[in-house]
Amino acid sequence: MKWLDITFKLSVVVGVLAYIFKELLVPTVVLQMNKNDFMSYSKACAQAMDSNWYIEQTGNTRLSASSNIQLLDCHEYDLLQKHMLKYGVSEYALSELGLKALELHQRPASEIAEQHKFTER
Amino acid sequence: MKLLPYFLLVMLSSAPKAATDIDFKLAKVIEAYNLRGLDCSNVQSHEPSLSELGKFVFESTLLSGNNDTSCSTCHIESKARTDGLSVSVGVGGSGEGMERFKHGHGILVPRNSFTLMGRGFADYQAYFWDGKVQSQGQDWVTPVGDGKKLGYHSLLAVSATLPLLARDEFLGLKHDKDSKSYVSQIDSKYHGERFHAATYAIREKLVSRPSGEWQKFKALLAQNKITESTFQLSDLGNAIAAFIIRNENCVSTRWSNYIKGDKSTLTSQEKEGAFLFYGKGRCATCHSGDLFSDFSFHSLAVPQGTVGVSMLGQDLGRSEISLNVSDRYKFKTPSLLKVSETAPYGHNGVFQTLSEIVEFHLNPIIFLSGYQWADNEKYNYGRLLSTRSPLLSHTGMLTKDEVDKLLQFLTAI
Repeated sequence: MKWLDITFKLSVVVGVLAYIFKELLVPTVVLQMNKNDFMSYSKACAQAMDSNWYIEQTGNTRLSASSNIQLLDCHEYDLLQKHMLKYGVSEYALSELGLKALELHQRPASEIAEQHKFTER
Repeated sequence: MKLLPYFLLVMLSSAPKAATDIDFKLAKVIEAYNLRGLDCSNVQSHEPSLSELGKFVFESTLLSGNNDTSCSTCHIESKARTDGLSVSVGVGGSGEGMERFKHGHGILVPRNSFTLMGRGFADYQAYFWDGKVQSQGQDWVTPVGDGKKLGYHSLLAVSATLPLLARDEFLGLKHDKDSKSYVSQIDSKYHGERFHAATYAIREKLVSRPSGEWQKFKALLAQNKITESTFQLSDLGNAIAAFIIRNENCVSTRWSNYIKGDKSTLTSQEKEGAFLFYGKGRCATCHSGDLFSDFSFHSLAVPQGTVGVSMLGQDLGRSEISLNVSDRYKFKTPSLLKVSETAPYGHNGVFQTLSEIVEFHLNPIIFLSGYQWADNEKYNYGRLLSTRSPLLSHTGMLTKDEVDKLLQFLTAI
């Protein structure tokens, strides 16, 4: 019975460690390793989609061709996003990175106000 | 536990490589734009046996009224078949290149000299900054009329003879005794009549000039079964075109070799630049195809400078040919083949470096902030600025690093 007890406790320890590894350590490492590239691809893809919206309205086939080429930046974004999701990075974390890339995060007024305050008189 | 870091490394190193594979992206570019690379066999119709005659005519000053200008005056072999000047110096000049400019007596020809490299490809559809020679479907539209009926073999051949009919480029100085009659004989005629006037004037010279150079000219014509009485100006055009196609047309570029399969011929920076050229930079919207030109007409609002072909020193560009108000200040999209070798740039050579003209496409204020305006030019630039092509408003937002990569790509085409 002692071996059963040891086996059980070992299984619990291994299971907890595996859980920590898979759910915490790996996603954190993957996020840190790829966040700069992800933000860069986010920005590039957003620009590509934005440009494409207006270019499609021009009816100019050559402009459209260049815009379609530019949309390959979104392919890079997609691939990296899938890779990060595969290794457990949460969608919330990726959304936050995407917003930071586009500088759409909330900025308090105090950030701007500080620049215009007397520091001494 | 000792194995943990290795396990982590192996797992995390399986990040997708294909996403950043630039060759994959450029394969999509080549497919989307249907690029095939340069094909030296795809040239305009010409008679190769005329190329020796064409070489002689190209390098000879015989056909200029003052015997001081040849085709090679403005298309110098050592300068990638340009003259290295902002605008060319025609009749009355001496020497070539900057020496000819400093000589000071030559008449300015107020357009930048094009290179002749790669100008003989069959897909080349329009010549000169204002497109005065161009194909429209099966027709050739030229200042001398129907080129095919006049005996020209190609559009290039027609283009090659137009400078011979231009007063400031070849005909001569109006008030000079040596060239006066030659100038008035041809310059007073228009369109097809100009072609015939030049034909008769050269026939007269063939008959009356006994000098060594003229004898050599007659001998070369005779080798090609052309006599004084059968000679036509189009014979010269065909000969010059044959020379240009033989000597200058078959250019090799690293980008063309890349398209044909040699992936090692470009650096990674140049490949990134290519992706920008065909994508976010929107360059290929106008600089399209294997010849990097849509052969259409656009305005960048290039400042006019001090000289121009139109009145009051202006250059109205395409509208001088089409007479269309919407064509004012538009110029033909120049081919970018060997562009890194053909400074200066712009229809009047106002941009000394590639960097200047690329930046001008993106933001004209960078250049204009340091520009020395000609008299009254700064009060008239606004009319020009309003013609700047709306296509430029669709350029993607580029960084300095991206512009540098674009410039590097331009050295490979």
